[in-house]
Amino acid sequence: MRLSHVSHQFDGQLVLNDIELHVSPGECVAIVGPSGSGKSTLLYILGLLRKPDQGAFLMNERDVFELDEEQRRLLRLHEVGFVFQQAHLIPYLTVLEQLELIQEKRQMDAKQLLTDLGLGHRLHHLPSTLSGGEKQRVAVARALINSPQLILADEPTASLDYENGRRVMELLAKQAHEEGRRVVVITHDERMLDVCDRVLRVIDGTLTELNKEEGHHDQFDAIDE
Amino acid sequence: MWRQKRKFSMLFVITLLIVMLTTLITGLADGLAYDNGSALHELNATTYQLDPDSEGQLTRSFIDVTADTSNETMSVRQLTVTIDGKKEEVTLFALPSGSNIGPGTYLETGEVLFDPSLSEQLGTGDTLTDFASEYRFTIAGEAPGRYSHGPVIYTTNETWFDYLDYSEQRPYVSAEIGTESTMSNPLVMSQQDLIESVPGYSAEQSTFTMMRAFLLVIGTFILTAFFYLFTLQKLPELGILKAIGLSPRIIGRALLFQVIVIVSAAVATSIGFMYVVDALIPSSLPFLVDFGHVALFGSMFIFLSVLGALLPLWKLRQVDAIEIIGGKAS
Repeated sequence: MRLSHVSHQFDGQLVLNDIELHVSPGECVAIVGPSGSGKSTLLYILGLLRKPDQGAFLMNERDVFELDEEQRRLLRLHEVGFVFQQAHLIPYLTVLEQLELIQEKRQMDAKQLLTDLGLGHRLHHLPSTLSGGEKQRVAVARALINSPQLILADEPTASLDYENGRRVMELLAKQAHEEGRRVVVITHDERMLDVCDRVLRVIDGTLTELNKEEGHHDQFDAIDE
Repeated sequence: MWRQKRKFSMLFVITLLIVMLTTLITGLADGLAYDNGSALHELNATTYQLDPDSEGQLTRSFIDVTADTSNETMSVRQLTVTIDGKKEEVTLFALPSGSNIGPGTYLETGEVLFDPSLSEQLGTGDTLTDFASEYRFTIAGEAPGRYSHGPVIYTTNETWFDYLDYSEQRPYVSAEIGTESTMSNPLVMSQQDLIESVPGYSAEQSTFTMMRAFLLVIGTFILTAFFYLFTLQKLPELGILKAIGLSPRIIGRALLFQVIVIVSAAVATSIGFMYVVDALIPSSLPFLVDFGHVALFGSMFIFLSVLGALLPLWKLRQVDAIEIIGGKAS
């Protein structure tokens, strides 16, 4: 899974400039950067929601943006799992129904997945009765239900306290490390970065890798808003 | 959606009220239509030959009776009769004896059958007296029939000619039944033409048709607006589902399913309510439940509502998933 020479403009401004990104199976990658730096655009391209102006997104050696809209939708449904900043659950569906709604192949047991995420006792509850952390774990379960190759998370801990945020990040990292999936997480919270294998910084449309081991805090200080 | 009881109930009640208004007006229109022309509607004949000067109205059709008349004939005349000294307007339908064209064809001369709406004043063996000629009709039984919002009395052609003879009037008939005619230039009319020519019938039914059409259009607009607002409220959820990769068709089908269920339930409840109203209101009120007719209008409501729901579906297709999940629209 690789982005190759991806560039994208927005309102005449270059937000991504010749990006190269490779994510291996079993790898959890964090993306950081100031607001407006192009992180979300990068995530939308990875999520097949936005076609870049230039470059290719190679998945299994084919450029997914050469596929038509319907084929990309199916690829998104089967191969990409999304976790958003807010859980965005359907308010009138129970926890279990949230998963069943989008479950394509019955290869994964939704109940078991929810139980594994500590939500076994909440299967038939509506989102309004769940805590923020529980809602986000349901969102993670929803992202996993179709066994995607790639999990994309856009600031999944932003609306959570530290403990719940940490739990969600660990869950995502576990998907990479134990299930062999590719996980890309956008985050502003540097306390969560240690669960990821790599940290990439987007600034002025370019992507650079930060050194996790050697004082990335200082580098964050430099880029923080 | 089914868990959103308040919204669902509100939408159902509004839909029900609109549909109910339409079906009640349909019941009233059908009742009035029945009251205006049921005597014609129930006749077993398809083609009638009228006097070309009659403008299609049986009561204004005067066909001379000639010796070579072999066709079956019928005559219709509005009479003022006295029942126990009280005057009543009735319409006399004289039909060929021994035929199966309508009721009363087996009666003896001078006998009539009367519409049950007169049953409070009349019974078998009683007499009706024509006010103008003082010809006396004897009641032989009941047979339902209404013409121009008034009761019908049925009799045979023998009684008709006896009545004309008694009142010293020139013998004539109102129509020849069938495709043959003794007239050189008859006015050929179908049964439906005859019904629509009953005075006031077309104007009355046109008014009701227009009311129903407006109700259908207004109802469809209201329902479309509601479903549109419903969809707008749901756009964030639908945008997320679209981002996840769920087919807009699946989401659209779910919305259409909801529309169909709500409107169908409203139509079914309305039809049930029509039967309740029909059972409760006094028989003097012209109200009729014609299931086929009500079902037709109900089906039109369902069809138009589905069409109306396509507008919110179009909006759904336009949803930019990125915008919904917090990004800048592409």
